[in-house]
Amino acid sequence: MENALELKGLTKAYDSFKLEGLNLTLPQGSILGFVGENGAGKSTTIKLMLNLVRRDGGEVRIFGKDLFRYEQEIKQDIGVVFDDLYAAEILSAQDLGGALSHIYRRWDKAEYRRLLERFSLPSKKAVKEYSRGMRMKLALALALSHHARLLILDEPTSGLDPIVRDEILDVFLDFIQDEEHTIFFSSHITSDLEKVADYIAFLHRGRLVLAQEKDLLLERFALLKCSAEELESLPRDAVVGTRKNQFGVEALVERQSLPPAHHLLLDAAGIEDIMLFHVRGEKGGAVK
Amino acid sequence: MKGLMLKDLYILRKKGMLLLAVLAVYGVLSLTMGEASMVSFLSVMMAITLPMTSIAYDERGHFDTYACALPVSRTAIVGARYLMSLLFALGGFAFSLLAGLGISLLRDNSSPLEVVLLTAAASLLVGLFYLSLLLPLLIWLGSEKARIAMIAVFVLPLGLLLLLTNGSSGLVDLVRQEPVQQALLLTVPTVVALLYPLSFLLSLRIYRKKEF
Repeated sequence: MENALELKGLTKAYDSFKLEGLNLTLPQGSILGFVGENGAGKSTTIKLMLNLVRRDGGEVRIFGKDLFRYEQEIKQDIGVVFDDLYAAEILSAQDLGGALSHIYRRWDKAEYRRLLERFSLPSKKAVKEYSRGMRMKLALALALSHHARLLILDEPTSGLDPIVRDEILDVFLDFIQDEEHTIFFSSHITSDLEKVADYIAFLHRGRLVLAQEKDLLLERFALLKCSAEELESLPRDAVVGTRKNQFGVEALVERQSLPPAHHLLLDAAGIEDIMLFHVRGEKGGAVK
Repeated sequence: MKGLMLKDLYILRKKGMLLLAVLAVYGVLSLTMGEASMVSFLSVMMAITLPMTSIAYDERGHFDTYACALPVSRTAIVGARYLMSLLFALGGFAFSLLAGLGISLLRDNSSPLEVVLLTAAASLLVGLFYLSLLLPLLIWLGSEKARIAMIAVFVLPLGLLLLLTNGSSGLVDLVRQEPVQQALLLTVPTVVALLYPLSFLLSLRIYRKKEF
């Protein structure tokens, strides 16, 4: 079974920001949640994957094929959703379907109609009259109506109410039922990631800090609330980051690196905690 | 390309109705007045404003970002614009021709077929000339930033022409001469026929470098 996506040494430099040597592999059949704070480089990565921006270095392979050499062929099998519906506001869902039917070889009219119905989207109304949730659902319908094997989504649920988000995540789970389908989506809504992602990749300031199976990741880290003294007693490499609060210290620790017979009270760490401590926490036990 | 051109048609279908209505009104007006030049002028305007309208709508909707993620090459994206614009210019030509013929028939005018044809052809060439200048500008700067540049594009050739013909009737007399007219008849269409594809190549170069 091939990898749906392979990024090797992907690099892109802007004036104020640099994406450096990104290495990422996504096996077919899974959902990868690409998380990072605003400005971390998530959109840049996705745009590099689609050749919307020019890379400064590295390689992108999709379905085992080099993006540059097989770009159009690869894109026939990719469904793309950005953080908004990118289309002239005067067009309707029907218009967009009509146009795309001549662009995607495997465009499925019936499937498109079915999705519009499922999402309760009026097909003849101009999209400027759609609400934000409707726009995103339409973008998703367009991405799902040509038998795509890989869905690439850039913050598809941001700004949406929990009900619509849940609807969209359900669609992801339906899509992934087929073993040959893969999803790559970026988000900073960590609860969405916890719901559907198999893998989590965490990007911070242009560098990949973590990339692991979600379940393993959630087991790997834990939250510890203790006093400054207790923290000092722990091995340095066990502590990822710390935060001082009025009662003592809160720290993100790696379970494996803790001394075996510790009596510390540990709480489960969520993706948000892992993210926060990696970004904002003071490193390795030192407390301000 | 077909899909993209269809998308443009869908965009213009709603806006285009208004323009067609205006054309129809002017068409009738010119028929009653026996003056075909208005129609020719409008045909040129149509050839230019229709592509500009669809470009502006696409820009507002950030469509380029999505388009480049679709299985269409950047060549096809630019090609669709140029092909669509050419079709509109040809549409303007046909309309101009029809109006001219209509006037000739209705008014029993002495306007020979030649003149009608020439007027219509002139509107086509002027339209294509302006498109050749405008499209690369729009693709490069986007319709917001290109606004000032576009005014310059419209005004400069006209201004230049006025300057050259003003005061001295030398240039006008020159053009009145048969051999000069013959030469113009050959060179102007050729120049425009070359300019349009060259403009396409320029636009392609610009668009290929763009990042979305």
